[in-house]
Amino acid sequence: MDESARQDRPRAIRAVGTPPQPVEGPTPEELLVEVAKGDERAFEQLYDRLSGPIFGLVRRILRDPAQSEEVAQEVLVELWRTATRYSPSRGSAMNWAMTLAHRRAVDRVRSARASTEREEKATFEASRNRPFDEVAESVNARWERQQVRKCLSHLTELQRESVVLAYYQGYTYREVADVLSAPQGTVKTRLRDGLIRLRDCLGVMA
Amino acid sequence: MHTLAGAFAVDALSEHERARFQRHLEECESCAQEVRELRATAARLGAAEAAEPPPGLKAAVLAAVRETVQQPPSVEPPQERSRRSSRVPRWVVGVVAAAAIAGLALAGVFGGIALRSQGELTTAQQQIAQAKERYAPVAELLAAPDAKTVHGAASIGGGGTVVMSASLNKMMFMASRLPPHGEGRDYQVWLMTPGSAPRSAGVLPAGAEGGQLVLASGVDGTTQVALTLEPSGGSPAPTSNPVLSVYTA
Repeated sequence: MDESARQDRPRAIRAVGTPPQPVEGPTPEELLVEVAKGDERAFEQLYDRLSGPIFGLVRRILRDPAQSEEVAQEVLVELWRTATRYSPSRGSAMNWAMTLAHRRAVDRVRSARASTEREEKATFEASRNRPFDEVAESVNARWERQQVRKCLSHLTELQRESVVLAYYQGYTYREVADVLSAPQGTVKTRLRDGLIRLRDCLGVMA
Repeated sequence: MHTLAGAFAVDALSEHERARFQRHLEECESCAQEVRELRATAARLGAAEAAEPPPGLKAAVLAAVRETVQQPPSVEPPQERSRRSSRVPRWVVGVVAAAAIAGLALAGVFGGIALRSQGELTTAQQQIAQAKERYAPVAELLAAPDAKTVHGAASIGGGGTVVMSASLNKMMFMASRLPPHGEGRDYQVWLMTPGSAPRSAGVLPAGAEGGQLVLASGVDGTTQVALTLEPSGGSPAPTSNPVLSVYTA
């Protein structure tokens, strides 16, 4: 994401706050381009930038620490393996990594869920009342987390629940509809409306 | 279709909805742009969860990376699972049709004991006639000038080939080397048409005899053929995720 260009783009809802100063050194995008050439040192630097967000997201979805570590490792190795497919025109390196991590974690949680259906429902019900509290403090993520919380609070309840349950629990929109006792079509639209509002609130460019 | 962009961006679609939407994206630039934006938005939700990884992770990842070959830069779109060819080559039509008929006839003739009487010869001839009758629709489909074949690999090993002809309004699905479906279950073939529920094309016959093949007609509008594992005898609607799915349009 281009932080400076963000200011110039008119939005229905203003982006909140000012992002913190970027870390010194090459950007993750530049690193990823070097990684594509087989540069292990660049990969190590990239690891330092992306492993926290990758691990954090995977753990949020999977909960189990051992499984989370395993999936995070898979994602990071996949990042190395497929760096050749990356180009900055496809979005930020963070975006690329998060998309990969989310997909992997969701695949894992869905196959695990097939065998422990009832147990999951209980976990799920319990999590509804505390959608974004289980977060280990990490200095770099604090600003990001504040923005996300603030913007989530601007959504309608159904939008927020749809987004949070689909994204952080790895549920399909049909499953979300089932648990919220809402029509599938409604959840499908709320998910989209909710993400569009978040996009505008967070000032996301792609 | 457009409303699925949000669910797609956060991986909240089933496998076949996802595959369908992915194809839609290739033709809809505004949808693709929206998906890029919503994915970038979702990435922010993800990054907000950043947490300190366990201390051993870095060494494990770096060690794994040293042993992992990188993918070559590819011009092919990722996740391309199926290979398609526009026409069935002439020779395939002859060979497959002949093999199908000969295979069944030979099984009938030599499967048991050698022929010893006129009666047995008559039975054999009847079996050949039945085989011809049974495989006539297959031969007809393979010979259709607009027959299209699509091959797909199954996620559980093996795969299948779909032959479809719009002019005959027919299709067939031939399985190859699928693992045994296990006790109390069957493989079932589904025809998917955008906007309507999957329609069963039938259950794959259990034995290898005659090949694992189903034929279906009235396939107009079908854009995808999928294979699922269902309780023995098949289900009115799919109850599990497809193990194989190919696009036919």
